[in-house]
Amino acid sequence: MTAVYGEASWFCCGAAWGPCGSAGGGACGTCASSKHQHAWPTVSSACTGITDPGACGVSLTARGCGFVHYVTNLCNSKEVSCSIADCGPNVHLFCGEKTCCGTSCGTNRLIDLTASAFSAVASLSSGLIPVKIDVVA
Amino acid sequence: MTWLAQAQPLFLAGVFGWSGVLKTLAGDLGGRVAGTALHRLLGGVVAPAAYFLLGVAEIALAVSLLVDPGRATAFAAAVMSGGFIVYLGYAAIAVPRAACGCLSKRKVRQTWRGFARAGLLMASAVVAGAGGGAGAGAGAGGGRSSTWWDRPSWGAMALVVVAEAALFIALSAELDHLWLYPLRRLRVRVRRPLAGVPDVVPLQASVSALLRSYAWRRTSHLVASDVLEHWDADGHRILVYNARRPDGGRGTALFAVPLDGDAAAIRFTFIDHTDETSEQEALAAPR
Amino acid sequence: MTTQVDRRRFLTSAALGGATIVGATALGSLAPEAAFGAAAPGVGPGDIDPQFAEGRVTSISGSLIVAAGSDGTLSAIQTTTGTSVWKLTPTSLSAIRPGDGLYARGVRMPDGSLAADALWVNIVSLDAHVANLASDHLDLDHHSSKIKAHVISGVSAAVYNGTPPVTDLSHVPVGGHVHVVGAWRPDTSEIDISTVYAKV
Repeated sequence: MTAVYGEASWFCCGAAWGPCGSAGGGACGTCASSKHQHAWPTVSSACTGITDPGACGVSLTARGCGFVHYVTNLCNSKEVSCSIADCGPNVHLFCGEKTCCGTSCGTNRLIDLTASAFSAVASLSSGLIPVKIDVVA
Repeated sequence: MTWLAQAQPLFLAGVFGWSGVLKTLAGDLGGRVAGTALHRLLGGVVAPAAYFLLGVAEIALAVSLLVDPGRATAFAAAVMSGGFIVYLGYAAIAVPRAACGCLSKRKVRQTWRGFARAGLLMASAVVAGAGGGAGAGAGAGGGRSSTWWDRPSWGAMALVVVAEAALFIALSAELDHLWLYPLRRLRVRVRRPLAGVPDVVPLQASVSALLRSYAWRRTSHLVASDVLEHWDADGHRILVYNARRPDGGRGTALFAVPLDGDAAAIRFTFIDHTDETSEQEALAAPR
Repeated sequence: MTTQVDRRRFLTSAALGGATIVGATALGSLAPEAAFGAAAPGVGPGDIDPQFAEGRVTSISGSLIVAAGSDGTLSAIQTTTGTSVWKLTPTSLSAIRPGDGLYARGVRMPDGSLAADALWVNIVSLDAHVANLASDHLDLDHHSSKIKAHVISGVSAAVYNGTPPVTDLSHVPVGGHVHVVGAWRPDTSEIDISTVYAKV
């Protein structure tokens, strides 16, 4: 897989406080906010049916639970490695949404990081960051 | 009130026919079923097939209601409606956040409206079954109610069907995008809630300008915290962060971000905490 | 108060007298290149991050916060004057209350406590469907739950199509989908909006 560029947000999962949509461990059953994990839109065929990245003209390789992606924040070049633990984000609801740092941009919401993974590369108060997503460090 | 009973098969045929066509012909069965209570109930392999077969049954029922309206078809419609109510009850208890998947691919939260909608169908089926006996179609042992083509009162029937259809649409959360949201958008355009805001540059604008700047790309490795504090001075927003030198020494990072958002003019200052005086100045503040 | 004013005057003078970072501005020993080789060992994918803590605040004693994590463990979080506290806006330790939810990032100490660099109190990040706009709040649907999202004058901001944040939330699309960062009001289904990201 060649690296893809998109937007990353963060989400809560597991037995978390507050309005948390992925309670109970997420689609893979192992998701927790304190682990370096992420949600991926094509973790299963059922997931792909919900997130529908094709509606945005995006083709993402199907990857199963536990697969590792390397995510780099384009605003500061910080990288985090994290494994798939849930289904998401709902790509088709945010087609064409773009976030840039200088001339480096990420288009379409492609990945959701846990709070610990996101805070390793950006402040949690940043809602969306442009990222590079790769399968190698 | 024969026309009331005569109109019900038309209304029911319209609803079941439309629902059946959506289930069987709209494609992407797996996607439509994913995330619904049906998927949870039957699993990813069986649920799409069951969904399709249900659509076929709905189409068959719709055709029967049109060509052979009577107590039998009214009973079948009542059973179908009762089955929906039971399914909604299961979903509400077992998978409260799952979508119904009843009418469209839109995944919407199940509320009292879903139950009311199924109740409307049940009531319509009961009226359809109870009506008749005096109609021309009633024969020996047939128990047929007046058919919709039997001395029809078109105006009254049309009124009933339109009113029931409007109520059905109003109770369908999947269809809110057709009428409710346009109405709310119109109301927003007219009343303009949330307008008249203070003319200030929000903190997020200054932080966003900083995070996207070249200055941040060169200095963010020093920043160890989120914004400690901020204030405005001389057309700039001063952002203060806790910082660490590459050799581990502590410090304070200051960014002066122009309030006009000119990222190229952002100024950066590092106050080294090895200087006791500057450390006191930087940190001596009631927190 | 005089100390605060003097301190701000000092920092303002320092900040406005700082350098603009252009091209190869010499940062000397502060340059990013000086950080290479000094990076802390990374956390493995799927592993718990030892420099991170989350949970609900059970007690606050001076500068020490104890939080009950969602896995049942208790975390001791040590704060300093250099710890940033976010609770809808940058604030201080005194704004934290028992029952608040928090995420913390810092440095794990030998005694097991976390020396916090940053605390984010009650922060939430969620995708939602906008059901309605009212005079002081948005009605949101999030994963089949209703959330009342309060608009705080002068604080809440909106990002439309990736443009710089503004305080005018009146263009948030009813019937559309948005991303929201906000502060949860504990034990309710209500939040205060920090930033709404919307396509219009």
